[in-house]
Amino acid sequence: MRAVPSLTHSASHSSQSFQQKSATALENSTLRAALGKAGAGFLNARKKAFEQIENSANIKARAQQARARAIDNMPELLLQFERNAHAKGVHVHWAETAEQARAIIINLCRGKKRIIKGKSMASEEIELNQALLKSGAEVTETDLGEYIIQLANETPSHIIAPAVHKTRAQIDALFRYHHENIHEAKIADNNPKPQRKSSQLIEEARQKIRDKFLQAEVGITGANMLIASRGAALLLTNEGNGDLSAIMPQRHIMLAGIEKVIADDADAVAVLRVLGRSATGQSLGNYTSLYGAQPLQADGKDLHFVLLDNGRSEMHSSLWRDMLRCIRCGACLNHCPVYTSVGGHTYGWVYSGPMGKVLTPLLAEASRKTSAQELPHASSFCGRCVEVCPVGIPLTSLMRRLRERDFEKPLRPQSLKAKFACATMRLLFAHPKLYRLFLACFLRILKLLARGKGHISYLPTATAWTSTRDLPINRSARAAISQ
Amino acid sequence: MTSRTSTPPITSQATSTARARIIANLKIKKRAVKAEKNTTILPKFLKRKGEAQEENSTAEFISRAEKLSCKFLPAPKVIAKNSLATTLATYLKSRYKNGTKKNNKKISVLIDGEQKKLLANLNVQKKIEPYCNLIEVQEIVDFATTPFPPLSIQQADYAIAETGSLVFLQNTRAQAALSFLPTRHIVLLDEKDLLPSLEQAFARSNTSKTYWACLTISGPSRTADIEQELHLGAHGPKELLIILYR
Ligand code: SF4
Repeated sequence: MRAVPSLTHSASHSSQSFQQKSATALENSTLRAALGKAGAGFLNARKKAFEQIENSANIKARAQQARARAIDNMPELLLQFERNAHAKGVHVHWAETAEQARAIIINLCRGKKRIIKGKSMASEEIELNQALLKSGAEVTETDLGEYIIQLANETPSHIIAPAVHKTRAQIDALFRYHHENIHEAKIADNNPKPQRKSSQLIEEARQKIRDKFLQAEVGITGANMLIASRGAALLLTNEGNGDLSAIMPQRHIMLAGIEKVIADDADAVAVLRVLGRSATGQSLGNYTSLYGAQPLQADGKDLHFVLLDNGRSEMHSSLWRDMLRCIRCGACLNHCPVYTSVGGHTYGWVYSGPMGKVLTPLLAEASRKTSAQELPHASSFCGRCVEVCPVGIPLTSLMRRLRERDFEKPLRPQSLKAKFACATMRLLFAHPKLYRLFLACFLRILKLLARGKGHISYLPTATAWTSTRDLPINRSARAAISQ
Repeated sequence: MTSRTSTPPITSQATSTARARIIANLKIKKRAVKAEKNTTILPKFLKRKGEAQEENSTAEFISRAEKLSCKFLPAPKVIAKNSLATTLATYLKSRYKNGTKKNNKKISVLIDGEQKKLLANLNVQKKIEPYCNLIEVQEIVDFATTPFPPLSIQQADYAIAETGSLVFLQNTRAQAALSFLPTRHIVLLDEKDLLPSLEQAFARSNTSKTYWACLTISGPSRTADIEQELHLGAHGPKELLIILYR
């Protein structure tokens, strides 16, 4: 793929800190416009979908239970999955690291040149495309959003809507460049063409990608669930690209994290009921397909499952086990005030938003970067993500535990200010009398600063907060002050 | 595939080492985990607020499918089996008139060989042949070089009222392509194949019929990847037409 420097958004994978990247993102008006358009749509769709059903709390509880059951019995279920898949002549490969997964897939693609891909976050996680391209293959992403970011040479900025940060004008320019070889600058100067409608752009991409489908030799897709009792995998898409990637080529490779395992049909249905609703407000994804359900015999098709660990088995016995329940619905991203302001690329890796803040520091490859360790700190803990998560993952608690770990075993230097603050706290909490004295003084100071108003507009030690907004004083603090 | 035994056809040393290490890692239980009790029992149907619960699966299915932008031929109702031919013929005639009369060609319609027999038995084939060329999907050797018919007719194996979805148990690549490659997808559905819930649909897929993929399709293909605006017809069909008969 040719990369167009003028069109790339270089924030991803750079060494800047989260803070620096968010500052840049906040000033990017195009990005903010794109994110603004997306935001409300997702929220309303999800809200409506859950409001329409009567027992939504039950339905979420059931989904959570199904996922918890899967995670608790992961080793047994994974082996059961493998046994059942083998019995049908389906191949199962295990990869402990991203590197192993890449090697397995490259090996399966040996001698085949044309490869198509359905959307798969796991493949983004192991940076599969770059590896395949290096091995000499030609890879085409077929999900429209993924296709767009592949042309732009970027990483996804949302787990459900990878190109959510792109405006129609940007996509139009990208297509002109890659499909017609017209450079952005030329469009403006010599050849002014009206900006095309979304439907025209979609049609153009459909035609381009259709040819790839028909000629492909290998199709690589993700999997939404690995049903242990069947040894088969569920794949969900809306565009139909996942199925075309699975169906058209002779070889189909499904890459999935080991946490995608689920016990049986009943549990799979429980998760299906919340997945579509949380992600896009649909009662079920447009295409929900089961692959490997029965012995392969037709057409010389072959099917390979690649099970990826990459840090997950480590998480399983850690304090962050709950995170393995995640079904990648994206609801926590859509409801996060930080995500919706700065966009996915600011997080510096493929997983963004609240779930990314927990996953990125834990998953093997990325965790070595020090920039990953600051992610759990970039949260106001408003807790909206916890409220909307359909499988009840306590995201804020998990982030808090990461902060604790970071404090105990800092991978990045602690600031003097933080060290001082912690030392003071330790002293105060150990001496109740001192604590009470301090509190009395502190409240008095707050009272002075509030000057009879319900909020404080200037607080000397917390100027980062008060320079952009007021610090509200809650009721109990007010009562304490007036005592 | 050559070997169809129960041993894994590709077993490299690397994958078994990785398996052993992953499983060993997972079996470490550093943290005691409380097993959650199976307390929530769900009703068979997903209850929806604000609308009277559809009294039967048929009405529920029709209302769900219409919300997913499916169209019903000739109208959202169940037709008699013996008027299937007329319904299809009327539709094809209208398409033939609007679409391809200029070059005086019949519209090509893709169909599965087995289902062609079914249509012949129902006397449908004779009635619709004046308006279309029926092409058997099995005859297409190379999808890349064959111009693809704009329309396909396919019988659904069963359908799900809860979500308005159609299910196809596909045995060959050609059959599966039938549901994805044409621009318009006409689906015949026998009312007796309507199942109320997702659970029942999953159970039904454990049949004796051999198939390789179980496709659950809920409406025409769609994307919202450009500025989150919903558009029908991404990679799959732009229009999904259902003929419900009994
Ligand atoms: S953490 Fe919860 S809300 Fe976020 S993507 Fe995962 S399942 Fe969805």
